[in-house]
Amino acid sequence: MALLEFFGCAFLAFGPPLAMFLLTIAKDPIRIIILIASAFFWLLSLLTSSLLWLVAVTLHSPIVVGVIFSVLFQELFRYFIYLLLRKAEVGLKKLTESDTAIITNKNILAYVSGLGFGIISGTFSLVNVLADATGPGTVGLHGDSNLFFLTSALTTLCFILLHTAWGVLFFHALDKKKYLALVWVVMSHLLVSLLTLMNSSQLYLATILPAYAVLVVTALWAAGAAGASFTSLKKCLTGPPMTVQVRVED
Amino acid sequence: MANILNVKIFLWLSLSVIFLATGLNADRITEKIYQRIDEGFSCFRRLNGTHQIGCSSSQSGNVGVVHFLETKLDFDWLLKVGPDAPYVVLLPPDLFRRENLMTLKNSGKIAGVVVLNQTDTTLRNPAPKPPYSNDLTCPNKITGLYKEDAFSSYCDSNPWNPAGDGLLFEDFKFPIFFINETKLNQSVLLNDCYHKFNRPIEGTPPSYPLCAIELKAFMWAAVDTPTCLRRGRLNMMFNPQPSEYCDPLGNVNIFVPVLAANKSDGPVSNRSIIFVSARMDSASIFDGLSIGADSAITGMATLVAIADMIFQFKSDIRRGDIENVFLVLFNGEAFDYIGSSRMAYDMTLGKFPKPMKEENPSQSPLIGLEHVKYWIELGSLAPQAGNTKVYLHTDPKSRSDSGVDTKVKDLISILQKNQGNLTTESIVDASIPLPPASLQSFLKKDLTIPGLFISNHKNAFANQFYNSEWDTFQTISSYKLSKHLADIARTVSASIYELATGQQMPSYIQVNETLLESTLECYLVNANCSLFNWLLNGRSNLASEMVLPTYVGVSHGDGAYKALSLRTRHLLAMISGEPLDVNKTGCINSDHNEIYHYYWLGESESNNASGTCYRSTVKTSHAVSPAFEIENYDWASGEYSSWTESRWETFSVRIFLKASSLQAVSIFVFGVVVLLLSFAVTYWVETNSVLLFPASPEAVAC
Amino acid sequence: MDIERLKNDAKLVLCRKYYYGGFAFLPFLWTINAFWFFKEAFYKPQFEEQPQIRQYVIRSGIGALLWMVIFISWTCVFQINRASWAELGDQLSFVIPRGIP
Repeated sequence: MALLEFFGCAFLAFGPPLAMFLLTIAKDPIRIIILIASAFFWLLSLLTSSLLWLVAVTLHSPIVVGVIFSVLFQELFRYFIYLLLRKAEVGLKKLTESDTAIITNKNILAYVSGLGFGIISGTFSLVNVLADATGPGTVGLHGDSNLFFLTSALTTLCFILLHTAWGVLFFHALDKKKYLALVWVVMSHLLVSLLTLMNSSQLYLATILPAYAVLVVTALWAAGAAGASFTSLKKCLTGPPMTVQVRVED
Repeated sequence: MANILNVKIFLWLSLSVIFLATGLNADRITEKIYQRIDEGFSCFRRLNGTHQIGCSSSQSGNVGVVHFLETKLDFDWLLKVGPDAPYVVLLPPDLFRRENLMTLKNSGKIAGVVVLNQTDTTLRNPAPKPPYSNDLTCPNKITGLYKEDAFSSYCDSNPWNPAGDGLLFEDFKFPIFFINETKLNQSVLLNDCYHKFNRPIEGTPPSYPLCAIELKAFMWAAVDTPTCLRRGRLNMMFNPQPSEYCDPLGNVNIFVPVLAANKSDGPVSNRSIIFVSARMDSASIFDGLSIGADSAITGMATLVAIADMIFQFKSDIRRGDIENVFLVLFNGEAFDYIGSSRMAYDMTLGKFPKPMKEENPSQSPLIGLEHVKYWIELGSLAPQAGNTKVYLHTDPKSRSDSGVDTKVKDLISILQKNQGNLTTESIVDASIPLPPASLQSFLKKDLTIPGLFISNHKNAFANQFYNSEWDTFQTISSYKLSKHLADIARTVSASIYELATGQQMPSYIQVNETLLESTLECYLVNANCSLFNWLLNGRSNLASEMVLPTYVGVSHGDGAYKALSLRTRHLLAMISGEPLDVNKTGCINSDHNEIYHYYWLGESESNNASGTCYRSTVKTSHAVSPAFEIENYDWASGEYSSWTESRWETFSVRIFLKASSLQAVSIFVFGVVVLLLSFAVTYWVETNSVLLFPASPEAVAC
Repeated sequence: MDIERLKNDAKLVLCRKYYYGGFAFLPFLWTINAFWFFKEAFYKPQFEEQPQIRQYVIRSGIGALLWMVIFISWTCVFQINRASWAELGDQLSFVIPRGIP
């Protein structure tokens, strides 16, 4: 039975990013490279946070401080990958003769790097939990909720999708100098991360519900930033996609 | 495995970093799921020439829902209702009996058994209601003296061990653990696990999540001794990580020739040595739980007391035609007379104490069965409430020869003459054979040995806990114990004096009751005692308040002494030894030979200069069954003990919650739905992306 | 390697090599041969070497199938009887059975 739980949680947390990767990223080597690069930048932010935490532990700082600085580092490194990608644009143009979409639509780069952040952070937070889920037991002997694996998977999924949306919004804000969006990204990242602190007192719903609410707001905002609107949505729903594609290719 | 571990460690390190960094709970998840229980003693697998006995789990461990069977009535619910099989049942010691175990075994609903021993705060727990023995009703019958004669059926109608339910020799396909829990403290298994999650209320089965337990005791050996030896040999040849699958049961016999003799003094005369023996091992189903208080230690401690007296009069021994006295402690007797059969075997082959070597000048002369003048064996000797009689058993088979019969009668009469405060009764009925005794191994080889077996029972064992984990100090404790054993020691010593010299033992030779009491304390109550610590120069390295198991253990052929053998050897070295005026270095570097060994004893940790060098004749000999020595031995013959013990990697017990299969299936279905849905949505968005996200002209311009 | 790019005569040489190689108790060569040249042997428009390739492919296929049948039946026989063969069963085992009959 534990194996079922393992696969359920794995599919839940990593199903959506897997679908996004296979259907939107895997077809283009450039996108894969950018995904890996941004994942690497997230790892660098993790390294910095860990170093800071090493110092903080000796100073007996509360964990909240660690959370805040970790979020700030992640956003800082998101800024670095933004700078890098903007610098690399010229080179990318030369490389991608066949796929012009990545050049013409800057949101694609933002989306790919956001997903890279999401996948790597999601992997780091869930894989070990999943490894423990393969044993015969489930959480709860010492009074913890036995939905621990499920809530962990849901939280992880939320963070992966949030990172993707934050990526798009963050790049857009810098491109367009719309600093309100930038503030939202940092503040909502802080908010959701701090909410997870309530997990230690088992207020799982208090974490998950607001986190998903933030996800909806951020995702809508990011979609809007990427050009989506009610009219465009309506167009897709009414017009058959095949004709649309043909028309564009014409 | 190592790889998986590495990955796990890596992930754990990474994860701990991220958890610290993002503020999730930093506890390891396994600690939220599992709780290890370390206070367990496990049942394990032994094999003989034709069968396997004991227990084994599957390789990954057996998992079952915990269920507590408090009384006999609880079995019904488990067997008839119990919807959450497989179960691991918790049994109070009183219910760990053959009929219950067989019911459980045959129900097919059981993944394991835990004998839950709830001790009170003093850790002194009353044993279950006697009688209680997991040995056979006729212990060691197959390898005994009366295998194919008129006496072989005696035990069937008059069992020596009527309490024996033979559970020790049953083969279980599931693990059985013995777990001590303190009653007044938080009981993990009962309170945190069973009562909290699993207890049926008025017969209604509990609802998930349920508390489950995993018992791991995977045994490598299977089928029988020849099979596991053969597989071990093949594995040693071809496996990159070679290891045996099983080892022969074995240890050392410890013996003391009272007088040192050299082969240069000439051969030993026939019928000139008196042997006094006892056994030093017992058995139980569980690894590490075999104190054998009355099964072994009462006789052994008495022998130690006798040794102390004999060494006071050893210069008088050779006044008559007696040339020497041998004091022998046999090991492995609980498993078909391993120690005694090996010594008898070595004696017949001229290999006792050691095969002769021309080049070695310091060797004891060969001792054979023909040199035995009398054999006195000490069995269980604890005094019984209301009956402190001591019984003298003899072998009717050898006594059918009138010469032997006369000598046995002499022996009995001398013992009864010297009985002092004791009441003795010699068994005169010629239809009663010897009870299980080491002497049988020697009579099997030579029926002309006049022998006597001294014990506290006439027919059935007085020991109600023969070879079981409950044969402890508590079950034999009485104010008479050491006094009674001292009386026996005095009687036997005086008899030996008279047999050797024809005279009364001088009255100044007395039993050292302090020594006897210390011996009993060390073997039965606390092995971390001052006597043992003194013998090991303060380096005993034992947890306080533990009692060393007397189970024979296995012989790896490395000659390393087991904890108890080492202490016993040093104890006899102290008693038999002659203190020398030599310092520590001189003592350790002395010329150890086959006649004398030098022991440095009594050094205190604080003072290296303290301590004494003892020169002693104490020796050890292999207590490994001859079956493992003989080439092409017929394992099915039952001639010698063929017991081996399986190897295992680890014993482990842990409890955790088991989710309902409904919950697991729901989570799985939810996951699959999310997976499929996300593919559909992503596909739709991807194909519509151009329409959905119309590239804004500014973006291009930028 | 992409056999599409080979010339027809080179294909025949390769196919023959695999076919003869299989006789050295290498049934996997036959298996590969049968799959790899299957298209060439049966679906490609006629070419000069095709009948020979077809012959090798069929023979390799039969050989591979035969080996598979032998393998599977031996595995079944061994797994069913190992315990009862006792000593022989242990000697024929690569992983010496542990904890089981």
